[in-house]
Amino acid sequence: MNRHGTYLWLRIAAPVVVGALFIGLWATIVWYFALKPYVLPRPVDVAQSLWNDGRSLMGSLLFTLGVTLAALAAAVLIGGLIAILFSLSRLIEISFFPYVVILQVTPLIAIAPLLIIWVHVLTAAAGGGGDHPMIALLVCAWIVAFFPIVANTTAGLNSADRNLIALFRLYGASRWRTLWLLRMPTALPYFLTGVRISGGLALIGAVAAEFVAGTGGAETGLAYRILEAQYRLMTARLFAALILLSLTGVVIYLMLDFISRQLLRRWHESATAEEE
Amino acid sequence: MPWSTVIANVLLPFRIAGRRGAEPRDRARAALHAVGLSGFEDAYPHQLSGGMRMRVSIARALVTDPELLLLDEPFAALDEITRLQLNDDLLRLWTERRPTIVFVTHSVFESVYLSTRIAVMSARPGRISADLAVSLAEQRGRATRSSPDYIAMCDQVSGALAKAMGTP
Repeated sequence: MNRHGTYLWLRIAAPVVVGALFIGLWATIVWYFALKPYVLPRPVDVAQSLWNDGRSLMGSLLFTLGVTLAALAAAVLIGGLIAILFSLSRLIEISFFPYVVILQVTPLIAIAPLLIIWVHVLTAAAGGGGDHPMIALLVCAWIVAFFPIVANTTAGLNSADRNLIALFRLYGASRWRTLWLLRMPTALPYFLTGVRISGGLALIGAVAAEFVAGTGGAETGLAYRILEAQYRLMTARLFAALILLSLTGVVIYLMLDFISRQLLRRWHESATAEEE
Repeated sequence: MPWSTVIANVLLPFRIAGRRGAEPRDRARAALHAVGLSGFEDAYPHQLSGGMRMRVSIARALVTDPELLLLDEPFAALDEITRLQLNDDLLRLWTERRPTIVFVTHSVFESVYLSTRIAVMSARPGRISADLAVSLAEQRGRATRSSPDYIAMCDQVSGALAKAMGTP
């Protein structure tokens, strides 16, 4: 218990010390080489920018966060359904999996302009005025986020214990009951790993898509604020936006990790190993 | 199944058949009691020892009150002490419920101790090369293992096995 306590204390203290040393080094470099603030601002300038622009940056952060979480939710839902479909029919899996891979390996930045045109045309046709940047961003983020979920969940659904599958067959279990009682619980840890990866990817997708879309107007995310700061050489604000983005990524990861641990806590190796 | 509690694992045959309610639960409890796992209903498999997990599988097989149990080397991976214990448990279950049990084993002693009839099989091609009746009393225990009849029977089975393997 004591050793565990020391370890926990160290886990917090050690990174904090490293962070403090890093910021100290950063400040020293700026001072020693007399760097211009647009090349590298002092840590103080960044903190000040965070404080001054915090409110407006926070609005942009919420926009980006909204796109990310919505894309992640869509990826979980649609990715999960596609994986179930794949596991139910080998034919469907071998027919469609290559296209899922193609969608994944084509760089998002390259697809984004096309998607933005299409979404514009479609929403215009539907009478929405054609000005829905958020939908285009959402689709882009979804494309990068759904692959790890599909790939992991499909693998999980297909890796149920052979003996248990035989047991289910022996008891005359239907395909749906086998799916529900055996394949889905087996796949849960795989699925959750996929979701954790997708959480980070959805954020990357949302930011990358916004770089391409470059939406002005009322709804802008953090990526646009970074571009804007770059054009105006407001490097301190750029840093502030970057820090917010990193923090968002970390928070998303921690949240998903927590959910995953709660779900697996009672039985899975990855979550139960620590207590023994 | 590692994600289910002991009782949920034993209830599996009922859940597959879509049966829920109090009656299946009572039967699952009775089956767990029969294998000596009362009080472990809500434990997870990773909290149990290898022998206890095997008992859960047996309880799951018993819960539907089958007339036939097919056991393929069920105790092969267990240590000797647990194995002897489970042998006695299996005998007790058989005395209580009287299902027909086909039990595959590589242990001559286990086969004699548990059976009323032993079929010796040859390897490649797997054929039954001897069919021996065991004339020991049905009530068996530690004393059985040192009785002359038991030792003679083991000898007889070993001989039949050696012959089946082509090593006289």
